[in-house]
Formats: sequence, structure tokens, C-alpha cells
Amino acid sequence: MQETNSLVDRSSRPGSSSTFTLEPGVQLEPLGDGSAVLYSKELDESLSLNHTAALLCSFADGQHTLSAVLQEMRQIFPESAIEESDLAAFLEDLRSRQFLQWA
Amino acid sequence: MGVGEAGWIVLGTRFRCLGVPPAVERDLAALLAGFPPAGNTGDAVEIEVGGEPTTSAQVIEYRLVNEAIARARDRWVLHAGAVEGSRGTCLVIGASGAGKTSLTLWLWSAGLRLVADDLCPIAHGSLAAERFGRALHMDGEYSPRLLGRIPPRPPDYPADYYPFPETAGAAPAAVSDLLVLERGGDEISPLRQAEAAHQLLGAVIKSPAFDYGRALGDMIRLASGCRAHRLRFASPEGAGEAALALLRSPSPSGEGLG
Repeated sequence: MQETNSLVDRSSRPGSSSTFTLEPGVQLEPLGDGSAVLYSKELDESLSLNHTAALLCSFADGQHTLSAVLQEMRQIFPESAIEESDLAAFLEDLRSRQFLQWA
Repeated sequence: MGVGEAGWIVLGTRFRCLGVPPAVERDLAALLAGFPPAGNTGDAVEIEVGGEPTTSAQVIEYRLVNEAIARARDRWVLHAGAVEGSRGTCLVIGASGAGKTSLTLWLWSAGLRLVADDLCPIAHGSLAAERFGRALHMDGEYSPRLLGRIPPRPPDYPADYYPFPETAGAAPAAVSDLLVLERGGDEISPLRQAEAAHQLLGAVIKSPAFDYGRALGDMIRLASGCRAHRLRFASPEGAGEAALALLRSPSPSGEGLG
């Protein structure tokens, strides 16, 4: 039952209070210009991230909620119109690619 | 001594070819002249050609280079052209048919030193580029302006090939620039380091010894240490002029950090 609940939680749409972590074996490699590379040892695949996506992934610690991340990112990028739904959609995409999981 | 007993060092491996038809020995020697001679070939990898009279020098050379890539354990081999200028070594990568060879040769004919026109070895760890003296394969259509800048092919040289022009000299300088060539448009734009790393990773030939994580780590470091741009131009001349201007310019303060 525990396992079933866990699977349901991981695949359901995230909410404002959702937190997220990188999948085990996934590494975030920040680069000097603010971009970053996500590398999955398990999949032997990687993704290149722009500075916004890199920052978002830096919050993948299972502690920051989506709403907290949104506040932080709006402070860092005040000129950008960042919506929670955009962040959630991006994170969902990473989850579907097995780079991230909802905590 | 026939070419069969001679040998060459390609990507760190000593080779010799056995059973080379006499009719193609001269062409094979010409095509491989850009690689260091192996000297004592007692420990050489033997490429058995089989003496088929229809086997061409080009096919043998192709086999040998492929075998060398498969055996390379201390180098990444990138599908890349490379030239060396005052800033350092510039790698030119892009999809097949994007014009890597044309741009590389254009830059060479404009005065930069040729490092590689098609395959560029990069040492594991140190990330040093290595000159790859493979004969230039020029069987495509090149602009008259480019062809006008290149010295004529030596008499009796294999058709569609041209001797690698600069096999001697010091090792190439550290990689300073990356140009990612794409078709169409007239545009040059900086690339983020993460994207540059991925473009470099995509250019690495996936040999049997390929290790994704290790390659990614090296390509991230390579991308972090160089200036990367995407180049889209409709003509080889346009790409060449833009690349030349870029490679002759110092790094603007903050470029690549945005």
C-alpha cells in the first residue's frame, strides 16, 4: 500500500506545496555562465539547461516547495514573468524523462 | 621496402597493412603520408588487406583510420575541423553537410594553421587538441574562391584527395573557440556553455570504449574553457568571413557569461 501511494504521488500533478529531488544517480553540473548540465548515470543521458532551468534544478533538494521556489526565482529574475504552472510543467517534463521525482 | 612492410602511427596505435596490392601501394603511401612512420613495426596492429586487386587505397586508408578510432583509449575523436590562430585552436563542428570542411579549409586558406579537417583528436584529461594528418578528402563542390586559395594538387595524387598540408610543427595550442555550424540564415550568436558541451559531446565518435560520463565531463571542461558560437550562414564565404572576424577578435569582457 505504501509503495502504491508513493507511485501515485510521484506521477500526479504537483501542487504549490510539492517538493522535488533529482532521481538517484542524476547529477547537476553547474557551469560558469549560469547554465548547467543534468546527467543521469542510470540512463547515460544528459540535458543542457539554461540559467533559469539550472537555478530551478538547484532547488531539487526535497525541502523547497514549488511556491517557495517561485518566490525565490521571481526575486532573482524580477524582469521575467515566471508562473508556477511553467515551473511545474518543466519539472514534470524532467520527471517524465526520469531525471527528477516529486518528493 | 614496400608499403606493406612500412607502418604508420595513427591515434597512438602502430599499424601496418598486409597484402596491399602493388597497384595501390603508391596511392596508399600518399594518403597516409601525413601520419608518423611506425619505425619498428614488430608490435604493430596488422591490417590484412587480402591482396584483392579491386581494393582501393581509399578503402584501406578508411579501414585503418576506423580501426585506429576503435582502438583509441586516451583520446576522444571528434567529427570536427580545427584550425589554429592567434587565440588558440578553434574547433568547427556541425551536422553532416553543414559545411565543416568548407569552413575549415576556408579558414586555413585565410592563413590559420590547419589542425584537422574532418576528425580532431582531443586528449582525455588534458583536453589538448592533436593535429590529425589525414589526407584531405575533397570530393564535394567547393567555392571557386576557396579552391583558388588552395595550392594545386600534386601530380599523380589520388583523385578527390589532397595531402594534409601541415604535418610538422609544434602541437596545437589549447582549444580557445568552438564554432557550431548550421545551415541557413546569416547569424552568429554565443552559445551557453551547457549547450556547447552537448554539441561537443554529440561530435565525439562513439567508439566501443566510449564512456558517456567521462566524455561528458571532459566536454563540459572543454566548453567551460572556450568561447562558443553558433554560426548560420547561407554561403561558405559568409561563414568564413564571420568566423575569421570572430577568431581575430579578443574576448569581449563578459562574453559567454550572459
